[in-house]
Amino acid sequence: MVKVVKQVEKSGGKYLKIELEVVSGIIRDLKVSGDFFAYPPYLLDNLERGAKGMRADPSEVDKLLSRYIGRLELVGISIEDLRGLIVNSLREAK
Amino acid sequence: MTKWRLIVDEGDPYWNMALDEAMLLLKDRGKVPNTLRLYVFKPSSVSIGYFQKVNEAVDLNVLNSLRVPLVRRITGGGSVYHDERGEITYSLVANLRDFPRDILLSYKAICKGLIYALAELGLEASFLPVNDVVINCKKVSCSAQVRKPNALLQHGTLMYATDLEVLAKVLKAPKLKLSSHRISSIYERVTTVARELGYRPRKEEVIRALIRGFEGALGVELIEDEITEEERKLAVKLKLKYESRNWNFKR
Repeated sequence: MVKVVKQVEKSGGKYLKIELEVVSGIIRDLKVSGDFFAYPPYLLDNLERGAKGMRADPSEVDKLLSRYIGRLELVGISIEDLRGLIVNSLREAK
Repeated sequence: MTKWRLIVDEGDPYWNMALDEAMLLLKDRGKVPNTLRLYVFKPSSVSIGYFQKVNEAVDLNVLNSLRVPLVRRITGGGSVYHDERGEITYSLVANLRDFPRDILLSYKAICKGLIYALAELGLEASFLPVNDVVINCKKVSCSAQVRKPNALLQHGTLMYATDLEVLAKVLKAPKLKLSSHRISSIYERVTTVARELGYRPRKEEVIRALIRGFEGALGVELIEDEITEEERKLAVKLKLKYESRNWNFKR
């Protein structure tokens, strides 16, 4: 198992952290935390759950995130920030 | 002039969060009027944002030794120290249609109530996006908002005489934040009304200023009332969630 932790602070001061666990090319766990806002919050919980069991591949991450565009509004961070941290984590997890 | 309900009360952290959520859920179903609630956390407590990790937001050893309870909010944002003797929390529950659809604009519209309240107390404050109110670049208030299809809840803190030494001990800022702000502690980033005025205002004076401030900013008349039986019953149920370790330590 490879566990990667990545974090970023945005210009507005909000903080985002990703913890990603990969086992044999499969995402075992994704945790997103920080002091940002998500509307509605439960969709980010769903997104975390949706990542579990997914192939550890950026194209899969894009597919997952695309399901939330227009439904999940992030304030203080962006979907691109989230994508960037997850994809960078996947690279390290290889 | 449009009338809103005003609730002034106090409670433990679990009750306070449960009542805010009950008010939101019932507002969403059109069962309660637009409401401003002003309250105190008794005993002093810490609330953390929905997405925060407990061990990164607070120092659990200090919380335990000071017997400061912790509660996770349904709203995002950061950790807050609610000092029983130096902090008033506000919560505003209203129809979504009564505020700008744009989230940042709605924060700004509601935070105007705090800015007007601080002006009543003789202080010039300003809104700092996303969710802060600052005096001389230091945070005196921060707010957090959550929405339902028909209603919004925004709650936030006003530190009028918070013990900043305790605050600095119980709350943790991510190391990343401290390095980017080039300062050594939370203590240097926040202030209180008392610190800015040079004297400690009375709690009643701060509550009066908040009532006048929100009335002016929202263009409404606040009429003091009590919660309904339905709100109380729903809050009693929701309190169980806020008391649970599953909820508070979910991240």
